Amino acid sequence: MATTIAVHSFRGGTGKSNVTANLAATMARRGRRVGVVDTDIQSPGIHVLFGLDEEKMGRSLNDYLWGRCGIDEVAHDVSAVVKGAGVTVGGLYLIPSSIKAGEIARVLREGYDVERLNTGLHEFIDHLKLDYLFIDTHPGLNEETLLSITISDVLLIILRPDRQDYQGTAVTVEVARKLDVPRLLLIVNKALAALDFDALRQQAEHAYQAPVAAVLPLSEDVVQLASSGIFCLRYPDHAWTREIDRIVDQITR
Amino acid sequence: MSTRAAEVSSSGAAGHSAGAYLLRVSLFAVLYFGLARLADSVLVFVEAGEPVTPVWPPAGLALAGLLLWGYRFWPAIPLGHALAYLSVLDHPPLPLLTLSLAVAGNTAAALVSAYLLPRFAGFDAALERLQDVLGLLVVGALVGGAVAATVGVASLWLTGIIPESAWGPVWRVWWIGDVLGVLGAAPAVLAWGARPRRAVARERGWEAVSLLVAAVAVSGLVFRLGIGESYAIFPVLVWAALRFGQRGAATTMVVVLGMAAWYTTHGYGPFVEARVSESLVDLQTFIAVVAVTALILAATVSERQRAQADLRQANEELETRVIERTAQLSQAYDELSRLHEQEVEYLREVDKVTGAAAAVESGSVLPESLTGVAQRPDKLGQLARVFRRMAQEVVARESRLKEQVAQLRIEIDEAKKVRQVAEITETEYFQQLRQRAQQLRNPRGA
Repeated sequence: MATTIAVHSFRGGTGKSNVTANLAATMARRGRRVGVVDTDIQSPGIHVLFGLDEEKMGRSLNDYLWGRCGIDEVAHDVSAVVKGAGVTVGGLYLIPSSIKAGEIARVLREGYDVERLNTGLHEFIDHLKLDYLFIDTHPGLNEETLLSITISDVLLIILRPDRQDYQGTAVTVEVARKLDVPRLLLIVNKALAALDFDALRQQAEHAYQAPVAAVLPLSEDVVQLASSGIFCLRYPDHAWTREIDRIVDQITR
Repeated sequence: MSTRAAEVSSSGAAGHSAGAYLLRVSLFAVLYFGLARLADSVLVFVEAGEPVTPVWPPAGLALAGLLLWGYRFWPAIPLGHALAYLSVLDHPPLPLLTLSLAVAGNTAAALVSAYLLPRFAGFDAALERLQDVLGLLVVGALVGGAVAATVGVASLWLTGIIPESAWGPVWRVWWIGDVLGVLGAAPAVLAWGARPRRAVARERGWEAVSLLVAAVAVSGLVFRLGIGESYAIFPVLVWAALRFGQRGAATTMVVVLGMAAWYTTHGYGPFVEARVSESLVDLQTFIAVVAVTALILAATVSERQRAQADLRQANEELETRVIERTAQLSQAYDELSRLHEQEVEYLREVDKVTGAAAAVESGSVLPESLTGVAQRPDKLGQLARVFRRMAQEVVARESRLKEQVAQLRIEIDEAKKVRQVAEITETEYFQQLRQRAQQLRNPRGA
């Protein structure tokens, strides 16, 4: 039975895609078969982290949603990214969203069949015998996001220590509870080093009545690498990487 | 004063050629000769067929000359004396040995006195101090006269001119003549020859002439015409001493004493007695009293005037010093005031820094006044700059901290949240989604 993990944040810029990619890569290196779906159709981006060339990307989630092809045809094997000496990679597959302006405009204009997305995701899991499926959602709470939350076994909510994020997260948590999400984990990202992390964690757990998987610092090293690669792979011994490991531990527990 | 006498003698020794020396010795000798001839010819009593000179002025000239010009002019004394003796032909000739010894005695007397005076009395030839007058009296007159009389009488006795029994009277006559000669003549020569400590004002010319006329007139009245008493001369002497110092006193004295001696020896005036010996005593007593009185009075007056002048000068110096010291004090006070102002200003600046510190402590804005202090180039300025930087850093850190605390505090607007959640959950889509959640999670299981 595969575990579906929806990664969500109320606003953009929380580092959602970056954390998702790192979690997925870490899991794959642990021998799991992992899938990542970029459902952020309006502003896609996670494919860059996996080194997928935009020109040669080929088919995308958009093609499946419009019924142009089956889900198996849009899944890209990106296992090569995480391969390394003495590492057994279970498998890492990515369904990217199209970055073509026309495709994005069409989604915005016409919307898409959310039911078909759900069906596709299940097929993706079955087809590639995935252990874990990460859904990189669009920020906010639109229909597609609500669906992602609904079907997820684990909902990861990423927030920054910021007033607007606090309020939005409260709404998301409340909505997720109403949708009976089995497991809810919070990740505080981009926390300034000067902050008291433990206090922040306690505050958040108290405010949302939900466990905080990690408080990730605003790391200059992470910022520098930006979207050009997966940080955990580049810096396996970094403190930030260890935090990601700990999150993975909690998800796979 | 010994140094002044030495100065005079050394200036005579130095810088003069042998010719100048001979000229001065000759001049000195001629003066001596003249004075001796005068005394011999005019100031002579004849007692029992023997001529007696009541006063011997050359002794005074000899001593004064040596004191003023130096010992090395001593040859003028025997020279003048020998000339005087040889020029007189009518007295019985003395053996050469007798004459030589007597002349040697006179010379020795002057030399001994001139030698002793500066050493015993700190002698000053101007005679403006009492000690100088007393020195002249004791060492110059009494001692010098004794030397001359002793050597002279001994020479007479040794060469058989006088019998041993004549020692006493002859010695006495000789001695008194020399003593009075020194007292009468030396002061005038010394006073005019030495530099006075204070010059007498020149504008007193008419008064000086009047004094001389008065001296001559009174002396003439008393000693020639026999009108009045001998002490009538004292007011004139007092006038001279008070107004003209030692020069005036000594000069007037010479005039008065000269006229007294002249007229008395020529048979006029109050001192003429039935017996010559009594006249001699009267005249000699008068000379001694007048000389000592005039000299002491003049010296005392000079001392008093000098003391007044010294006092005036001391006063002036004191006043000058007071003015100078006052100026210095005023300057020091100004400097102190300046320093004080600086200090007050400095403390004011320090107050600004402490004020700024208090402001920072109470959490208010760093005051603008600190900017001025921070521009000072000294340590206080450095302190102000460092403090300002620190305070700014503290403020920045504090605001960062406040921001962080705000980030830490998770405040959720519950009402807003409820509204936002409701907006979503009340949609038809959400309701459907909830109902179908189970089916959606497991489509194949449905």
